Amino acid sequence: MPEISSITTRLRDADSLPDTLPAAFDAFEAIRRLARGYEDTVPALFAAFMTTADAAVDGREAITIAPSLPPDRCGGAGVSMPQAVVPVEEIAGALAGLGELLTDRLWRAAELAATAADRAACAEAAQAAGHICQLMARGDHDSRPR
Amino acid sequence: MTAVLGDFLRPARAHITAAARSGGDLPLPARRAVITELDRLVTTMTRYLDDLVLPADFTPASTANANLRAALDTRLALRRAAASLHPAAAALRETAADNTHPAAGHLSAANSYLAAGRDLLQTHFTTGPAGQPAGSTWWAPVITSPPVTAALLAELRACSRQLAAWTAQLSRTGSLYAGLPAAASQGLRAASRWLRTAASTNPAAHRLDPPAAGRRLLAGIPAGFPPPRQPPSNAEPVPELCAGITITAERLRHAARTFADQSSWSPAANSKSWRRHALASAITGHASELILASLAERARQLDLSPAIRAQLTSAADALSQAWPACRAIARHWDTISTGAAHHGRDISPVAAEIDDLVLRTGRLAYDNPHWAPDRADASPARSPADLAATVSDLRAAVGAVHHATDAISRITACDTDAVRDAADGHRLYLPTRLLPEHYDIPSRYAPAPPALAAELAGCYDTAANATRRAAAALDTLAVTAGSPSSTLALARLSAGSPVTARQPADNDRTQAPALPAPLPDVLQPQAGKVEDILRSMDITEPGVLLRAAAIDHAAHDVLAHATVSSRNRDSINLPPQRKPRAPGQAPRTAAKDVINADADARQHVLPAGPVSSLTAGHAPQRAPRNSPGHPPGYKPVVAIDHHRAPL
Repeated sequence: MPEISSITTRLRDADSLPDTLPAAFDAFEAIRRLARGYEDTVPALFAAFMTTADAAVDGREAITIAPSLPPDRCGGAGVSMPQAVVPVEEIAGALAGLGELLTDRLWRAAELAATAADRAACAEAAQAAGHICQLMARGDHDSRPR
Repeated sequence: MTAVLGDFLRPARAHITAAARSGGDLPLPARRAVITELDRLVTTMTRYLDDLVLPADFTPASTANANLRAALDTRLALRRAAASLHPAAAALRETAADNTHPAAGHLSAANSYLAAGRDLLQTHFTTGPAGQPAGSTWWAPVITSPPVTAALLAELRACSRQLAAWTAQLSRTGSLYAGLPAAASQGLRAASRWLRTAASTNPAAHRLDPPAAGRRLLAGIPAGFPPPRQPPSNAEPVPELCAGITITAERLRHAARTFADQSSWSPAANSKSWRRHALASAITGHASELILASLAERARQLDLSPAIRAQLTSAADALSQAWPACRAIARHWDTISTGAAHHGRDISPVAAEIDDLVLRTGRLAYDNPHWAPDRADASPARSPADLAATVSDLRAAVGAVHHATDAISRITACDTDAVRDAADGHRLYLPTRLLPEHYDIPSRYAPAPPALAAELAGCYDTAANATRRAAAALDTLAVTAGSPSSTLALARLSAGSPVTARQPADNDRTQAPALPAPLPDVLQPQAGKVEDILRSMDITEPGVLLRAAAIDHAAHDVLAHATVSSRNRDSINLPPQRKPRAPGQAPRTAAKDVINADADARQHVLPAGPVSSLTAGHAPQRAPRNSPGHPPGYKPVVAIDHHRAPL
């Protein structure tokens, strides 16, 4: 899906904290917008998409206060909605994949971070990304207490 | 489950009934114990009414409203009954009493239950900064509402009626031949008369019981603290889910109320908390709409009344308006934030627990006992028959949705005020990275434009109205369906127009009357006993005697106030060495003042005879009446005392 693939590429290519943080910010914003756009498509997935959008805001807010987030907005946060009708399962799968990638990159960024504030921001954002991954994953019906 | 007032009132009445069955012919040691326990019990009953802040007697407010008049009369009669029993119990203090007699035991138990019930009521109130009582829970305005006050009065009158009849028996069979001290016998007889008066103070009571709604509300008043948290467990069956939703909703109502008081300073008053509230409210409302739609279908299958079916549909429609309004709030919080200063791990107590409500409501709505807001746990809606196999199950499910909706309605209402305050205080921001690139703002957050803040506040207003309408629709449904949550509906209706307030808790377990509190180191002058005058005239009509007692009581208050004023004035104006006053001078001067000021009154009240006969020792000896500070025409109210003294 082109709307997500460009951000996925940016995330994969980011090899430093100043590169990862803006990419993560935009990735969270993309997840939020897409989740909002699909809230009403399937009633049974209403709660899943609503909560995913909320988790994306959590992650984006965590990144926003990271000291190493560059002030400029060269990457651009604009993420358009898919032009064609994309099945909800495909969107959910893409969001889960992006969430998984975000989790991985943000934990790695947390290890690279030189300051405690950056580490805390990355860790908090990584947790939000992990939550997105869990919310959107297909998964088996598990019986874990929640 | 949380204790409710009915848990204490019911056994208290049962113990009083059991005690009264003992009859009047008790052994002397048991009689002594009974009088002592009666003293405690009636004092506790009086304290219930002392907690009510009623208008002063002889004011327009006290006479215009028949219910207030009845409350004042009942309180006064009970105070008199307690005052009659105090000396009776005191006279028996050194005597051997049989505290093991069942009658004494029943009275003691009744007193304990009533005292515990009063403690329960007090948990809904705190003392404000100026000492005034302040409601601290959603139930506080219900407790002071007219229906509940009327029901409480009716309950106390019923207790008084039973005690009056019994104490009359006790005093008849006892009297001087029972070996009781005279003070005890007389006190018991007087208490019996006042208890009978208290039982019959409301003329309407003979014709009209307090409405059933008031009685139900009174019995259903819960303790003013939340029940213990019960986190959702795996695979809760429908009845447990319904019970769990009720508990969670009750906890959230408490948390919302508490958090509302902290929203101006708490670090948890941030966008993360408010966003989480809106998210959970939207999901809960969405699931609740599904549940109601399913219940409507089940009501049709069970051939329930058209009214219930129509109201189920109507409530579902109302919820279909409410949850999108909550979602609109959540969407606004996507971009609005309370900024870096308020970013943290602190979340509100509501946000910390509201997921319990989401999980349980979702598990009730969907056909998956492990439901969670995950894609992996998504499932179709629960079938109507599985949701409510019987009519009783349907009522329970309606109650659960009612509680959930009421909770989100109250949370939204609290957040509406808090967020408006945040907007007014310029505490709302936007991440600058979300702004178009031509905005050159060096910080990470920019103040939210006023229009956007106003839009958010408008969303809250819309959601608050929508959730309130949904809760109101469920109120109607709960009452019609006979749901256990119908108490919520009655409480909401009753909380609209409180007419009485409550006194702060005195936490005093002594036998002294709770009100009026004796002023420290102040002479307590005796008021004229108009009541005694009427009794000496063989007037026994309870209403007239009660009015006389009210006059005496008011005179007592005025005298106490006048004494304080006089002493304060003296301490300021008079030199340290005061001229000794001749005995009788103060009352004589006072009487002269009264004669000059109110000759007509004297014609009717003052007896023939010398003025010196008015020195009956009732004047407060430490309160000079003719001190230099008195203005011309000063009329000391102590004259009431002297009017009746010779009689």
